[in-house]
Amino acid sequence: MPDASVILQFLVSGIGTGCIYGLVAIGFAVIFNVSGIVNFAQGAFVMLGGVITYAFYRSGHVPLWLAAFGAVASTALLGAAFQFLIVRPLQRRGTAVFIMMLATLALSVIVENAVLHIMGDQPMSFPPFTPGEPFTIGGVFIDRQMLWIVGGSIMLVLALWVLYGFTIIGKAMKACAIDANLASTLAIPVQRMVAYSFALSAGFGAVAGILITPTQYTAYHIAVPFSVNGFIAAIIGGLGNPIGAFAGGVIVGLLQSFAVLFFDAGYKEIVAFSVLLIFLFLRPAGLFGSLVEE
Amino acid sequence: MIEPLLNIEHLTKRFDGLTAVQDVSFSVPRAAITAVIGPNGAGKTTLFNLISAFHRADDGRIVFAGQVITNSSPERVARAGVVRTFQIARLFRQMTALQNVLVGFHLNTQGNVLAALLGRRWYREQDRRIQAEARRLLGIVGLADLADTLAANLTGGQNRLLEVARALAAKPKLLMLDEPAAGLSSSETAELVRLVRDVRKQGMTVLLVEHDMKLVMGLADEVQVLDFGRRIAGGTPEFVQSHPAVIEAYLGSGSRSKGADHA
Repeated sequence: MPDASVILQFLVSGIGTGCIYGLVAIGFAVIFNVSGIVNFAQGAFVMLGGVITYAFYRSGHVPLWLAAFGAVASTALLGAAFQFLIVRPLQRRGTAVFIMMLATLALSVIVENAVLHIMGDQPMSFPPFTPGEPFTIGGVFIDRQMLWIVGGSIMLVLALWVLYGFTIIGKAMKACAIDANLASTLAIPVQRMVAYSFALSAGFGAVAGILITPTQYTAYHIAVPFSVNGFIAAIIGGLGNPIGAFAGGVIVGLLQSFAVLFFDAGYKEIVAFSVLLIFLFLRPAGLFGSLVEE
Repeated sequence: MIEPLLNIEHLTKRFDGLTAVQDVSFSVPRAAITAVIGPNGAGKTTLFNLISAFHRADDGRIVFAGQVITNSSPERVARAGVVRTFQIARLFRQMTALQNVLVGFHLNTQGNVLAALLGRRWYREQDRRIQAEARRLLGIVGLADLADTLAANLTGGQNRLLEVARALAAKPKLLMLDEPAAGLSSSETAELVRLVRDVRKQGMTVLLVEHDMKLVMGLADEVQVLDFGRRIAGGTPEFVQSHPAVIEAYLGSGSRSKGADHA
């Protein structure tokens, strides 16, 4: 049995990764809620957040915060553009939802390969937001970037909670999720709400990518693992419930962290996927249920 | 003469050989209550579905406030100012009564998701104002005490009143009510009649489908009568009531007018 400080160390790192998975999972849930589409390009948005920030920052003309802001805005725009140019026309034709999921997979592959061609296959990174030594609490090292990750994630979750719970436009988005036909009879522009959800999810993904990059790196090939882990998180927390999906992310992050601690790094994915299978059997609506189902 | 708010012109709808609405023309005057009546299967609900663009018309056109709205989309029709209720009340069942009304306000709100996320002051103020208006509307339909009850847990009559409140939230130019009194208790019906008279007094135009003749005759300013998809008469309640074709349609086919009308 490893001693307590080691366990705590893995707990901290699990929470950090978990927050990132959680933001990806929110992205899945937000889009799924309004449109019924599972957006497999979610991991590509995470990757883009880091890569675009890196590109702006390395140009040497902008401070890191501005580069990050630009990356979030452009990724969100890409999300909205994808909805406008691909999803919307497909929906107009009455295309089945699983075809649109394939379209999101295609977007992911296109983004990955575009990044590979433009930026190359080398890992990219940029400095943490606040430089300095990690904090030490009771023998546990807490990276300064970790505080940004947890704090940033909490801010976004709160913003989302306010959006859905307390604003009229959030109600309109929820109404589209429950009954899009009925929402349209109240002059709610359903397609615009779907576009918002794509922009929001892409933006959340980009923030996740920007937060995590300084602690590791980003590269074209991280898109798929983030999509997969974020999706598992969304299933565990509840694809129909964005806040629950975030909690699912933290759970997956912790599970993986402890799998590495107690077994071996190679068991990380085995644990995550085993838990996914268990949930698909036992609680397909997720731990926290759905916004939509009663 | 003031231009009518809505003109139905030679409207026709066929379903697999059955002509549900055939060459129907009439107009809906402003700030008045117009009722469409007719026996079971007369095409009343089909007419509603054509106006709100749920169905595509095969022929004819619909002109609303000078604008041709035939075969546009439900969303565009609603944005033009036509908001409807349904024969079987349709609510966002997983939302509370208050939230249902809030959704109805969408047409009268400004701003996008960014303004909401950033919590801009004008956006928050708008939200507050609309919350208050929504509660007021719930009070008007007598559901103030049930504001935080899930729509799924309301009775049929309460659902129907809530649906009307939600439609009013959109501040429509034309309010379309599909059998609004169906399933209401007598006190709820009285409430509804008072409400509909009230909104007309405020200048709103109302078009309703109803098979409760007594209700229609007491409430409507104008009545249009459909039978087998055709318009057979139209005018004041008194005129329609004594019209031979109407008497024929209603009395000449006692078996048809029995039972619930789900046309």
